[in-house]
Amino acid sequence: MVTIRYFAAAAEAAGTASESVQASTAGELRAEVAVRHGAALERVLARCAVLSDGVRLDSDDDPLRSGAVVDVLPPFAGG
Amino acid sequence: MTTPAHGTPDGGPVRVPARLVVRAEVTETAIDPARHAVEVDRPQAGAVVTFSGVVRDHDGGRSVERIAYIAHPDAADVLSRIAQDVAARTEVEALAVSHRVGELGIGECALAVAVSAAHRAEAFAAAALLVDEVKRLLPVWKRQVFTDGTDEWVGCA
Repeated sequence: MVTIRYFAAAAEAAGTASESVQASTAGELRAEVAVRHGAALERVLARCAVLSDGVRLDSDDDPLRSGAVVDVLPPFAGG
Repeated sequence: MTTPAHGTPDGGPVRVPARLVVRAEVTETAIDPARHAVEVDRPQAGAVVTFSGVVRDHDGGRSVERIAYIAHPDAADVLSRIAQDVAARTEVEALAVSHRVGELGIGECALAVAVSAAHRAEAFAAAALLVDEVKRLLPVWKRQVFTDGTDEWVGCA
């Protein structure tokens, strides 16, 4: 299991700030959250950086550690 | 006549800028840019540059009523690293930076930056770099609420 934390537009699209999912790769995680939250989240996810324990996931093959914290970060908009 | 290996052409000692971070914070309370300017003031500084990012009443041709800012839990640590990095890369005597979170009305300050340096070119350059790095790296998001009651996440609409 990994814990996903959604922020800003991603949290709004997912309808939650945090949830647990069963996934051992970045691709499995993307597929699972798409099933759970549908097109609204997929649209936002395409613009987000996804980090596992602070390290960016670039490929669907990237492995996920059991217990990892995965952050879904929309484009920053400070200032 | 030879120029000393470690000195100015007139033989005086080279001054190394202090490169001090006097403030780097993410805050829920109102930001006072003038206080940032006072905090970076140093006898060695001939220039103090301040920047205020404030909430404006329009965006993309639409009328804005307010903006809500939210931050990642690590935002304070990230801002501290950005400030230290900019101080190390520039010729500043001191710098201060604050980012506000929460609900802000028109005209309220969301981002305040102040830097001091011996000369104006260094101060302008450091202030611009600090603002650019905050916008590029700080995990903060904003939701604009328009006067017609609709809203959108900036950069993700």
